[in-house]
Amino acid sequence: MRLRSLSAVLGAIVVSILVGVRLLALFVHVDPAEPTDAPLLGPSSAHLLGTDQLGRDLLVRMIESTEAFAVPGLFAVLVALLVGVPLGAAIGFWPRAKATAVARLGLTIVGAWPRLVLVVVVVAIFMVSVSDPAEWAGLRLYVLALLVAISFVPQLAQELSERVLTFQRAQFVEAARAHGLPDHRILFVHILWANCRELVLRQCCLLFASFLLVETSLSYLGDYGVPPPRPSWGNILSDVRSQVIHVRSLARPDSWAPWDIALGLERAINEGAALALLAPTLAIVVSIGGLLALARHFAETRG
Amino acid sequence: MPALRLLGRRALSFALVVFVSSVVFGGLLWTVPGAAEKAAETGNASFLDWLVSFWRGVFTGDLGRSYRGVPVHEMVWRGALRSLPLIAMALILSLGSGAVLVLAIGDRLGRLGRVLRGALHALSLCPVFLLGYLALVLFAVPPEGPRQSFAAVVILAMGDGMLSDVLLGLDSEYRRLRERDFIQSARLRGTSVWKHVLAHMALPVAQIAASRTAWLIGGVLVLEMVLGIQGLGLIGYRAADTADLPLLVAITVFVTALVAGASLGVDVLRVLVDPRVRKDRRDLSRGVA
Amino acid sequence: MSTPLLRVENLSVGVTDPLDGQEVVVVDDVSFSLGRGEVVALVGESGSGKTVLMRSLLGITSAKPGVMQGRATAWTEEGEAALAPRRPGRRRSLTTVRPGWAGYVFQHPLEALDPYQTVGRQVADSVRVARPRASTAERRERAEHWLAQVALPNPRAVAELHPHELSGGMAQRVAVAVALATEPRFLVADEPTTGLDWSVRREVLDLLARLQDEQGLTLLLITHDFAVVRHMADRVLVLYQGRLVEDGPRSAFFEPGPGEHPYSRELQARVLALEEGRPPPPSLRAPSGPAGASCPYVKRCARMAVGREHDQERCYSEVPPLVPFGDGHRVACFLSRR
Ligand code: SF4
Repeated sequence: MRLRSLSAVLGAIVVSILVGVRLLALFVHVDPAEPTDAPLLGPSSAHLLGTDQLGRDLLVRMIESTEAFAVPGLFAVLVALLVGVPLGAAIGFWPRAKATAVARLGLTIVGAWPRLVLVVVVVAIFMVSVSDPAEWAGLRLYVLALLVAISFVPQLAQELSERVLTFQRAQFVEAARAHGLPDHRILFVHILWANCRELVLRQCCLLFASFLLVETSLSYLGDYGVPPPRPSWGNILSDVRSQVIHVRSLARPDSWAPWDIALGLERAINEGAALALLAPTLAIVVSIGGLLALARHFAETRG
Repeated sequence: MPALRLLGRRALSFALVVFVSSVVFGGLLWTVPGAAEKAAETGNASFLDWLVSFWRGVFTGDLGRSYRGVPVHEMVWRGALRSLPLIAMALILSLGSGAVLVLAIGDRLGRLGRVLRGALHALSLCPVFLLGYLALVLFAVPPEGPRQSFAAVVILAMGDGMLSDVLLGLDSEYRRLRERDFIQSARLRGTSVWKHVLAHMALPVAQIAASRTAWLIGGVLVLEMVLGIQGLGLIGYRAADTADLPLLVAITVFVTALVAGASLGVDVLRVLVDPRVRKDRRDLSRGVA
Repeated sequence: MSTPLLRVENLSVGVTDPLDGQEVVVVDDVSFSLGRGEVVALVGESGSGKTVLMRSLLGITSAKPGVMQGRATAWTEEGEAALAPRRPGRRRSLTTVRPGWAGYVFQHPLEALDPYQTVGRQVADSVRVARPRASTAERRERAEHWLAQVALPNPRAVAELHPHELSGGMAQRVAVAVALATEPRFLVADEPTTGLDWSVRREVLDLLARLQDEQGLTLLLITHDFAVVRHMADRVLVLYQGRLVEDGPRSAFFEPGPGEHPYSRELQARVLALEEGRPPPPSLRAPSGPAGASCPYVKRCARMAVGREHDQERCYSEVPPLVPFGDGHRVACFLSRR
């Protein structure tokens, strides 16, 4: 009981912060290519989080980063729902139909593709195939979202179909049938809406977290994520990579002793790159943690 | 034999999964401008020709050359030798430490145990790339050698929610098992409880491992990029850049076979441990009564 | 009463409700004792705490053990063994007396057997507890002996089977064999006949009666089935909402009279009706949880309704203690008369 409400509260707080920051991003928009100050400044009243290695305000970039995943993430959720829910419901409701066997096999096939592999291969094909990659850069995130959604469908459909199957055999469904209720009404009203809501919501949280993970990972790696001048928590991290690693390498790089690590960290902080390292790290961990906490809450609200 | 029928069906589905994946990824890559022409140079005029020669290559061990001119099977082999041990070790580390935390320690440590688990869950929230990056920064992981492999295994065993998943999965399985009457009965009679527990945890553990394989492969791809490990992921990522048809298809099919093979392995294990699948109920009891 | 085997004093068990985290008292201040070689039936409607009482006494608890208070003392061959009240989270139970001293026949025999192991191995495991020095061959032989003891045909072949290959009756016998092979002094059988066919029921009961007689066991039967009580029990314990309301010889339980507890009457009437295929007499639903400081049965009590006003007040304001009522008979009712 206590754990459940705790995870609900945590999740709700994180999600509302994310929504708030995304809305804030509408107002703080500045030209991402334009430096605003000297590079790698520490925190000050002009730049609350300091500036990055090109002299851009870090806080603004952190806020704008939500643009990279908020709407595309919701798009992914929408796609997965549109494909996965009907599929899962149908598989669970008509477990013996021929089409069900085919759909199951299809899900097994898609389920065997590792998410990141699928995303990288297809986005790469997309980038090679379009004539002018720069022009399509904005669309890239939606392609990414589409792929994450597709790779998520097997998981969603699988869990949903198992749940629907248990209810398909339940007594109240038999009773509803005996009353002459049509199949679609039983399925949508009595099974899906009444008994699978939390399950679907949970999967939505997991999918969104998963998209955030894929987006930041690929943005960090560079080629397939958010196209560079636009910020993402992933590429903010990779932007200062050489800086941070350089600083760390000054302080006895091959020693793993805690004091050497501490010394390296201190140097990094003094050099001003620490905030560009810490801020996105915290943002990613807290966002994913909040989404998973919310997912956990939904998992525990119903059987 | 119900067990053989089950295994046969699963093996067939495994073959189908791998084959369809080769068609899908091959087909997608075929649409890339220039891919068909390049394939034509090696004597595959149509997609069908290419598919046939690809599958012949899988069995003869000669998958042609990548766009860079290196034999594909060699590259895949070299990458796999680097990546698969990492994946295997990460699975072992993660499941092993999960088993120690859940089975051996359990609730015994009280609050300290809960704090420890909470910390591990929190660490496990970090994406693999982030852990890799932090490891680079904090520990200055060298670009090669045993220290790098060690760091990679630890990161893979933790990141992307891996350890979290393993802990939660093992925990719920063990809790459910502990409450079952036959365990309680063994405890009351004073017979060994561990014999039952180990036998009944084997399958859930394998299931968790199999279900995490796909995730781990994604994690390896990212981590190899971050740490600069010359494995399957790095090779694949570079191949994707140039839409290198032969190499990419080989890698994706290999990876898919790995994931599908893991779940096939679970089915084999199920047949081995669970007599309810192995034996047909009615045949035997009729013989006795 | 013969030599005592087990005495339970003021035992209470609380269980935390998983839904709202509140503690519910499931077994409330129960005291009784069992004599060596006695057959005692523990009766009461479902949810009265019968199973929880016996399970927590033997330490067969689910993952979150309830809080246990009170004292339980066991007399074994080695002497007296006292059991401290158990703190939450700590496993301390009768099994600390000697492994295998107590046996439990579970309600669902198939759940009580490990589906992955052959029947023979599971019985042989129990044998090892009783005879730690026996060789593997001896253990196997002994296991087959026990399987023969529970009247299974062809024990050697049965030993090779896995639980899922057994019929319900066979599984119940195997479960009994598994419990008996540790050579316990005390056996609890939880609804040993539910879920079995009528023809098999009788056989299992006869089997239990024969084994109890042969092994000199103390047998405690948790049951709904009055045929079991009539057939086997020397003594009957009646549990209502976690409280022991009557404890007496079988004859006193079945003979209607002013001395017995009114709940025993109601219970018999319902079971008789069910056995004869009539609809059971209507009754008020029992309120959940004990109703504070009043007789737990007060909301349903027929005797109280016709009693004098002074007595009715007592029923509402005091918990009737279990008082001796002549010759090994105890009743917890203010209005019981000799
Ligand atoms: S004490 Fe009163 S209410 Fe309770 S059983 Fe006796 S007569 Fe009924």
